[in-house]
Amino acid sequence: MIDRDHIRRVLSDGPPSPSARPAPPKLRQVEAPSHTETPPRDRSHTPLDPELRRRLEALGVAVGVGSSLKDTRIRLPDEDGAPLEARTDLKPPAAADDSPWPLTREVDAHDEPLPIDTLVGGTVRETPVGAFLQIDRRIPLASMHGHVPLEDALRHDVPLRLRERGPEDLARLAPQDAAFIDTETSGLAGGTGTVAFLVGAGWIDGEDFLVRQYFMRDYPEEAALLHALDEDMADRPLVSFNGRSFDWPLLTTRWRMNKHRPPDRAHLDLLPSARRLWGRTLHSHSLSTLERHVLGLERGEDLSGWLIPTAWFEFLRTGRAGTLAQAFRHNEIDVVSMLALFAHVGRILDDPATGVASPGDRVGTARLLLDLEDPERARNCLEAGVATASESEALPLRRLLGHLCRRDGAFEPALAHFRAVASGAVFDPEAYEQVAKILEHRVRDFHDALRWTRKALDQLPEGTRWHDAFLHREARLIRRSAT
Amino acid sequence: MAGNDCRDSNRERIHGVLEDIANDPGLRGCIVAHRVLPATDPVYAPLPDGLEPTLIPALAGRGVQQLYSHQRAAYDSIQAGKNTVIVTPTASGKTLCYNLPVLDALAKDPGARALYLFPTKALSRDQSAELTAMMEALDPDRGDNSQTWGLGAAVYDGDTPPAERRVVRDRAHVVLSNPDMLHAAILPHHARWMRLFENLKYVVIDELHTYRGVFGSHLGNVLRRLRRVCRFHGSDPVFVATSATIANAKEFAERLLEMPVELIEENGAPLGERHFLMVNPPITNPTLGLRASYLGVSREVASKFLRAMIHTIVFAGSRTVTEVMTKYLKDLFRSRVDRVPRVVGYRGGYLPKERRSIETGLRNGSILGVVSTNALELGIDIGSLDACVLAGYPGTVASTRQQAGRAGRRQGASAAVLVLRSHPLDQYLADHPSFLLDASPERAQINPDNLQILVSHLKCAAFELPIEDTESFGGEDSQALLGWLEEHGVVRHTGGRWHWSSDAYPATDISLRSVTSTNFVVVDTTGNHNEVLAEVDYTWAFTTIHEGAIYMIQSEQYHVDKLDWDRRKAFVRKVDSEYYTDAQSYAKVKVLQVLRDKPDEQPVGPEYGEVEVIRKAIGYKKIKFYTQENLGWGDILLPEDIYHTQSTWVTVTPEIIEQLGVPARVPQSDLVDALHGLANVLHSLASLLLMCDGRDLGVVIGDRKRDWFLHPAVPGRPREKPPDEFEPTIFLYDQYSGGIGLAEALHPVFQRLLEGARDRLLGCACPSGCPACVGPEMEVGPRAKALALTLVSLLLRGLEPAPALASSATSNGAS
Repeated sequence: MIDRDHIRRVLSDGPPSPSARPAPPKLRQVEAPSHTETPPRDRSHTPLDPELRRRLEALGVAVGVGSSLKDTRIRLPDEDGAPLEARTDLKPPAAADDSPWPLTREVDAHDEPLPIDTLVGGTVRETPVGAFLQIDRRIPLASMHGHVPLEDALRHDVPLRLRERGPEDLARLAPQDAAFIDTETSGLAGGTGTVAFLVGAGWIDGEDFLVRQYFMRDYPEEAALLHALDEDMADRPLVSFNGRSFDWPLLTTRWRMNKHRPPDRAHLDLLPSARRLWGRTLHSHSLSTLERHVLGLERGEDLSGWLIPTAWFEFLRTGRAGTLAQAFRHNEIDVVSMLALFAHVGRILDDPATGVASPGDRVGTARLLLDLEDPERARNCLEAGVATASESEALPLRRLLGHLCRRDGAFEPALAHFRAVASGAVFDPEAYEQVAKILEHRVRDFHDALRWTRKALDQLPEGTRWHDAFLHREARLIRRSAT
Repeated sequence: MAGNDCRDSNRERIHGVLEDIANDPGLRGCIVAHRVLPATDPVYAPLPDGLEPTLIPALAGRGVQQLYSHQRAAYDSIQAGKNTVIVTPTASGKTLCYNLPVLDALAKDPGARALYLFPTKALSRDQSAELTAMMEALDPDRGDNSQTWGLGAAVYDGDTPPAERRVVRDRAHVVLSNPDMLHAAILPHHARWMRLFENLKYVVIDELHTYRGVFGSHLGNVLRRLRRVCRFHGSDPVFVATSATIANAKEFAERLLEMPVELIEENGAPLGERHFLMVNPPITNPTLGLRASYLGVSREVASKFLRAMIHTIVFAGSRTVTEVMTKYLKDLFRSRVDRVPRVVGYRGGYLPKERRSIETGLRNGSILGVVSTNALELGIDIGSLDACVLAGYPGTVASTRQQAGRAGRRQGASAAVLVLRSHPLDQYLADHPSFLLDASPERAQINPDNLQILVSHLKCAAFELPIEDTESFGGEDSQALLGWLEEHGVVRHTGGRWHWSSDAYPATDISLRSVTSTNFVVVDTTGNHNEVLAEVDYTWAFTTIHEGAIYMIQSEQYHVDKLDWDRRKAFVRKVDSEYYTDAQSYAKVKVLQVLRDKPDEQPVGPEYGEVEVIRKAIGYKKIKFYTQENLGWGDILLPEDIYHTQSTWVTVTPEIIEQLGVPARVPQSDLVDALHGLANVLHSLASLLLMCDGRDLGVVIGDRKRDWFLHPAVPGRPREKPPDEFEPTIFLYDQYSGGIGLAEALHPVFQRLLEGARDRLLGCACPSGCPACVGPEMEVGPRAKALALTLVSLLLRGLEPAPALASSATSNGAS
């Protein structure tokens, strides 16, 4: 069920006004499933002195209680800048009017709360530090995820990336060893007050991809969840999507908060690679965008990521799991999509010449290969693209190829590529500069260099940095061609 | 070394200017006090025996062979694990008091960590440079054993690049930061700071006296949270604080830390010869009791120092005065072709880059004069200044000492000149210079249990670590407060603990510096550039960037064309204006709850309680530069600022009104004038009595029952007449949401306040009101002074219990 008022409030511009806020929900005992040992909610604290209540109420909104989803989206108050920027999938839709919110089945608010395990299944798992709810699902590797066969994952390994340099970065990661991990959290703000109430972890188990979900039915179950997660992961390397800056630091914090030594793992974050590969062709690099455009998957009805914290708090307060149940499906798809993405990236990297369709993606692929210190295949990938693409589509590929050739000292092909780019429909001062440079310094044809320089000057507005640079070059070329 | 020569020539030049001031015919008889503090000799103490041996050559390399007595006392106390507060003057080597024990501990145990908190970012940068230099001296072969020292000292604040933050978290042995950063970024992420919190040995709080009022009340709570987090990670740090001289440093530190604190206040550092002058501008109109403008006299005094090429700092009371004074001094030297000393302005709101370049200019001497608000009062290293001019009493004894202390180092001579305003407080000091010269400085007041502040931090505490049922946080019933928060769905009680249960990050909603957190930006639209010029905080926005205001920065004038209140932006355009603007606001007060009633047996009595204050800026005056001529009036159309705070008030009973002869012999309008005049005096003297800044305290006159409040005079609009049945009340209230304890402290000393007001009225030589007592006659009317004197005497009589019911006056109705 969806609290439409809440959505309207969050979407509206102003902060929720105190009068518009509904009365605080009645606190109800969570209907604990018979087999659980969830500690009962105790409400033994001292009642609020009427005088103190009066003073508190006088403070009114200044105390600032209530959800601030809106604020956390805007401020991203993570201390390390804005690692959440990639989670664009977590923004609410721009306009509520376009969306009738058929996100989930409607559950009548007056219904008795349905125990969470009747909605999502699973079993209670005991650990030395308590119990939690575990849900296992097996997805045969023989099945398709979008248009990607999951078993493709087994055919490729992917180099662990990358950003932090070091010999181990380039080690190959075999999918059979890895654990694919994604968390659902009580907020996006990070910090010690944000918990991962649901962790999905997937790994290849025989013929299947096993997705195991770890769920705490209330805060006291967190220790057990984290204990089991660490135990099950053994020493598997991790694969995540944006996990380096979001999920893993958050889990590390949770382990520390529970006085559990955080495990140290090799970690492949698919997000930077995805950005390299599709950064120029897709506006957003969110997992859901990639699913749709790269994996060819339509999720259908899904709970938006930004509504998940609300669903969790609602479950805690009322025991109703109708909305929250959707988060389990959301999480499961995320984990499986990571495997599919892994397979797809592996295929591209193994065979860049044929694995990539669009010329734009070839540039991304080549850049990723360059990151991976594989210029050979980067060039193959681009050259194959130039051979098959139309002349105008090939320009960005030629541009990068030009730079690669020049770096290798192959000035003749470099000149040819840059000439082609400079002659293209879109004015590209850098290509002109490269042409002029090679002509001047390598070919030593000052007249031709001067001709290209003047062509560039004709198209550049005066006073710009480029214009100044070409003027300077022109003066020098005039001098040199005179001698 | 030419040290002695320099010292002597510095001394001669200072003496020369002081003589010049004394002989200035325009200032004849205006020097109401001149005190010379002779140079004092140092008191040394040997380096402690147990000091890590490697420290000894490192100290020697920096010229330290032995310690000043207070440095040694501090070392011994801190070493013994006692929380310590060090109170010694500017330039007494306070930094070494904490750096020495911290470096000693780090050298002995490389795993140990320390956290330094400074009230401003600029100070942490300054101190980081100092500390790093010491660490390098300590460890000259750093390249070889950098493992020992790791990163050394590092600043962690909003300017620290994200890429460096992780390194600071894991590897800095001393983290230098500020309370705001601790509150919003470090504590809420304490698990990432495990290395720091597990090994935290020392927490240093520099410039403790700056944490008065709201900022201090917040800091008290941030420290409560810090101690919780340390307990979780298993550390129990020693707290060290340094402070300028305040009356209650020990008590204040203990209130902030909620632990016993050792006080060290015997200064062992030498001091050069120091002159302190108080100048009262000459009377220019004896009939009206008007004095020459203090700004003019301050400018004159400052220019004498600047002409003698003496490095001078001028402290101006407000931002506006800072800008006006900067303009005056720049103008003064603009016409001189021979030598053009550089004079600059400095205040909060300037962008950091500009501030840093001014600081550098002051240090390397390329800037000769600086006009500053109290922003430069703190220990930012601006090198050695020799003269200081205080344009107007800064409002507190502590500030006066801090500001005057900006001139003068350990040797040579220095001078500070306080130019008094025509203001009851300043003029009271002119009558009683010893009050300033000999008085103990202010008490710092804070109230960490201010309910609004406490609840805000309780939320942060729950966010940081679940709160146990057995735990308490602050002075109120934490468990009950948590219950209230649970009703509002931000925490959840389960398993014997309170868990944060919201997607919000509570620290971002709380600004430590004020109760509201939003700033306004000032956007310069001159030439369609749209550049951000400065920031203005919420409380100042009402009176400095309303539409039509002349906003000044570096004495350049900008006209505020548009104020977009909702987006918190002011759009300004550069102008060359002949006037500046001075906004007028008024306040209404509504009593919410009386916490201390008037005793029944007294006809009159101060009452104390919670009030709602509605403040509204109504308009502004345009005031011509130099002549101070009033050029016109403009309206301000801005929303009201509403907040709850605490107040002490006294109501004038119908009996007293009758005794005054109102309305039979005396018109009611005279009574309003007298109340206005008395309120002026009470406000000034209350800040003196409470040892607080006048700006922290508001005053308003109104009739509680009939919703009538005194407005400032607005041209073309008659003042609203008070009701016929009139029971006026004078309210003195804390100008902070929630209150910080000033009104509460005022209640028991209210009689002394009235007595002081009576003495000021009796002591003032003017015939019928002047700015030094009730206010200028033009403002308060010709009969205000005489009637105010009668009024205050009647109020004082009313405080005596009625004879038949005489009982303990000390009980004072406290319930």
